[in-house]
Amino acid sequence: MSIYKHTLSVIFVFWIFVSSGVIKAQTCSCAGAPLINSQSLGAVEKGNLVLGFTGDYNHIDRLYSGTDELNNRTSERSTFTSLIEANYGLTSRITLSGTFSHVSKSRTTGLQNPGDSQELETSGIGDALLMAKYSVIQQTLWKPYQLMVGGGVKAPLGTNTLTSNGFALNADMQPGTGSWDGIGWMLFSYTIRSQNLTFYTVNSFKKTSSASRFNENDQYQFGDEFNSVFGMTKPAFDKFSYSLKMKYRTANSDTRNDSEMPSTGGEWLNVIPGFGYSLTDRLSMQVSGEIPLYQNVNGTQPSTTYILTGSVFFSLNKPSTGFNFGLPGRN
Amino acid sequence: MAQTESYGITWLSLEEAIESAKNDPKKVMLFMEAEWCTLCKKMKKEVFPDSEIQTMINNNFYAVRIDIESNESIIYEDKKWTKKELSKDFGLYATPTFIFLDSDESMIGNKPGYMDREEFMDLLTFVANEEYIESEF
Repeated sequence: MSIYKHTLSVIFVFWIFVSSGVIKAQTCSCAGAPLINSQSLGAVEKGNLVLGFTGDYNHIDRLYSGTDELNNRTSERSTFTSLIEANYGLTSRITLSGTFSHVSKSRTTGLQNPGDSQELETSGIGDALLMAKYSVIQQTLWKPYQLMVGGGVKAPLGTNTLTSNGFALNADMQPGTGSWDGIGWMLFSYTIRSQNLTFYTVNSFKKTSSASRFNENDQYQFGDEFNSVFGMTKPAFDKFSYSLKMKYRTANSDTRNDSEMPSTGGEWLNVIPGFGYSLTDRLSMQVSGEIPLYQNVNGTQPSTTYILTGSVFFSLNKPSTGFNFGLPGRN
Repeated sequence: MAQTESYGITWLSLEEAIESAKNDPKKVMLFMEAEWCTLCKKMKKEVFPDSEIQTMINNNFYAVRIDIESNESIIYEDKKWTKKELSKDFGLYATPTFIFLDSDESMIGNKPGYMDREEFMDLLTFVANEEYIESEF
């Protein structure tokens, strides 16, 4: 069902998940709009503002029962999420970030009857993620590693009460989740300087809350979820970089009026190759693709076939690569 | 870090450079580098071997290489440091970084990051001719 709605609402700056879903009995947990996993940007220099613009396309046309792919799929879905992210260096250790989303979803049902399929599209402002991150260990020339921790909330800016022809749409077709969720986040990176190779892990946890939808007796709560990314990145040819990441995600089943929803929740493991390019000192872009390696879903759910993500980042401050009077750290 | 390769540039110790500047005034150029610094290696491979660069440095500066991770002792402003301690005290945040001192040991300024041959020559000219007094680089 709609576990992935979670994803929709929350966090990402970089890539995203989506949930789909929707026919009763075949709702999904895969995917939708990205959030938590997008928070892979680390510390921002004090006084600097880094803006990110991300487009994320999640295509979902596989059907799984547990770990087994089924052949009798009856629907397919896709979600396109646009994210605008602002990261501001409040102090040398504290970075504030806000991520806002717009979500467009498409679902085609009745694929088992060729010529009789039906398509439904929804779109709207999605949820937002507001976070504060703290640099516990700051990376320097003499310390090739950093540790950051953070926390925040996913704010329910998106609607969760869209209808179609007078009928309430399932939670996973709504742009928003309607709930305030708590987010915990951490990033650790280590650079092997001799190889100019950086390994990192980004982990996040979302503690959800319930939200009423069409009336007070319709309380829906997405399952809590945990995301873990482990990856490496290395620069190449001056302005290029390439990366390879593994992403693990697990989500509890959704509940409706305190009853567990069938076919929601599960665990997924994806591989994400990508590359980056520095257009200028201030402007960079990243492109990545996400391919499922493993999924173990509760019940029967549509599952992601692939995700494509493109991001552009703009830094307000120009790196100080000019001639500076005095010493480097005391300008 | 072994500093056996000179790249056609006369490298001095910091103490030698400061002493020489007192006797025969020239500016002191500190090349702050690290063993793992690929951009430092790139400058040494692609920029320092240029004969005009070599001439410009040798005629106008006392050049000093400082390995920012070295525990080798060094004297600066009458105080004993390791090269690592001095680099940290300088507030270094990038390699390579070029730091320029005047002949009286006073600090002029710095420029972090890789430079190609043309940009590096411009920087050396900018500092050697004291253009920083009236203009920006």
